[in-house]
Amino acid sequence: MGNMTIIKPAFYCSIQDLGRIYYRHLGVPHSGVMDEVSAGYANDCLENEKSSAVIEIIAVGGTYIFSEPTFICITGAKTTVKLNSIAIEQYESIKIQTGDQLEIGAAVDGNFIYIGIAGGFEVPEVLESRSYFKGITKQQLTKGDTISYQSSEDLKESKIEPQKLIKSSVLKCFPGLEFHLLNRKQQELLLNSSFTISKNWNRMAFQLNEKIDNLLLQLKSSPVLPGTVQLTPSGQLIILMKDAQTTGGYPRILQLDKASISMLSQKRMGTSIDFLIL
Amino acid sequence: MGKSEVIFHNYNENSVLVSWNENTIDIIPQRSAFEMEVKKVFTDIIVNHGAYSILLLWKKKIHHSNVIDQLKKFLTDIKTYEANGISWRLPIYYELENELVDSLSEFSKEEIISKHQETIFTVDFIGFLPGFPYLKGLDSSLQLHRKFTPALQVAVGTVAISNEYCGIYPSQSPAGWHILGNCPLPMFDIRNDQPSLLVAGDRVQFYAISKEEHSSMKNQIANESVTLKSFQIDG
Repeated sequence: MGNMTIIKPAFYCSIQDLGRIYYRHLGVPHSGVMDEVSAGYANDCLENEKSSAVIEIIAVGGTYIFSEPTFICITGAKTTVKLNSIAIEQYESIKIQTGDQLEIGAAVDGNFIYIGIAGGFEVPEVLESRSYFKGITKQQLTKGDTISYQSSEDLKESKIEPQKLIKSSVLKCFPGLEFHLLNRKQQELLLNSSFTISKNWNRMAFQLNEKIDNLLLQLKSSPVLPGTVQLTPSGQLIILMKDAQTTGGYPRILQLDKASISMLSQKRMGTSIDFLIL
Repeated sequence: MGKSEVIFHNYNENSVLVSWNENTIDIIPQRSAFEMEVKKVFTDIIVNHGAYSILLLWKKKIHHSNVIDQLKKFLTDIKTYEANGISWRLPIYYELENELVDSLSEFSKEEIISKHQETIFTVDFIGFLPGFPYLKGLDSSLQLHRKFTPALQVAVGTVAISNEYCGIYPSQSPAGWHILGNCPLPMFDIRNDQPSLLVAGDRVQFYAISKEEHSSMKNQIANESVTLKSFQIDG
């Protein structure tokens, strides 16, 4: 069994997989990787199961040391990656030897960086998922923590087509249950104008800068999902993400499709987006 | 109630939101009966409850109109439904916050406590936080709007009220509800087979305990000399 030790922690890093899907009736959020596409590339490249656990890093990388040979693959936001001080590529499987030091810099394009490892990171499953969530799994990863993995020497070094972060501003949506309660002017504003990502974005939600005049009342607490676009009484648009709670009281005006959630997660503050109803 | 008052909405690629009219008086048995019928056919479905609605999630993409045609049939079979939730008696150490006492100034503290204790609540759904129960049935004279400014943090086990609901905070959290007291039982514990103490459809009645009983009960639960099951009412 190998260990990866955190020498210098990332701005925020957590273990994530495809999330905790079976416990929504107990109020347990989905959790899981924000960008399923990029995390999926890392696992594919390492011939892992789709559900293998990866490390998700927000914005700024960190430094890590490996105790046993393995293979890793860094995907997601574009960043600088060094192995023993030598620059290496993202979207390639990289052979790791005992004592190797991995250094990940700041994201220059996108928000979330993924470290995949052959066989996946081994933390205990809680409620059928390894994804970090406060109060459900062990505390957040920090300096000096070690994360286990199965050592591996027999994977072929492989490369996948580097994923170009999709640059489209278009987020595909289903109309939300309360969409029809918006008047025509509000609907047109929502669908015919661009919005930008505000500085308030995290694993729970992305807020948008531009507002829509809103006269809709709050609702009784109702189910919501990652990708639900809520309209608050102040006219603020909030797009719920993976760590969002399972119920909400704001009108649900749109629902992003799954691919658009991954795409949105990598859009940086100030980036323009457009909603398109399917 | 006719089918026409239930709305089926394509929520996303793999889910359907089923919503009842908010005038539906027996919403909890209606929704529970529907859920039970759905689960007989769609055995691995994932559900997410809300007030007057239920979100049904499939693991893969669905053909919405086919699924909805099937779901509509499950609405017709609910007359024979018998509620099967568990009945709980939950201890509470009452410590009413001043803001609540001021807002309900027509009643004495004792009157507020006795109205709360006399109510048999039904768990409408679990939401907001893992294990947070929305207990429906609060006496209409105790119904208050959420606080204008939420408390930044309340203790684990805080029992609070807002609108027609009473809730119990399973973990430390900011709280916009009005605080009545504290329940020493863990509402959510991943070590239990059923991590949430309460589930939708369960019934809850509170009984008052002293501060001393509250702390000794907490210890007894922590060292497992008292089981959570002992707070259930038999039969």
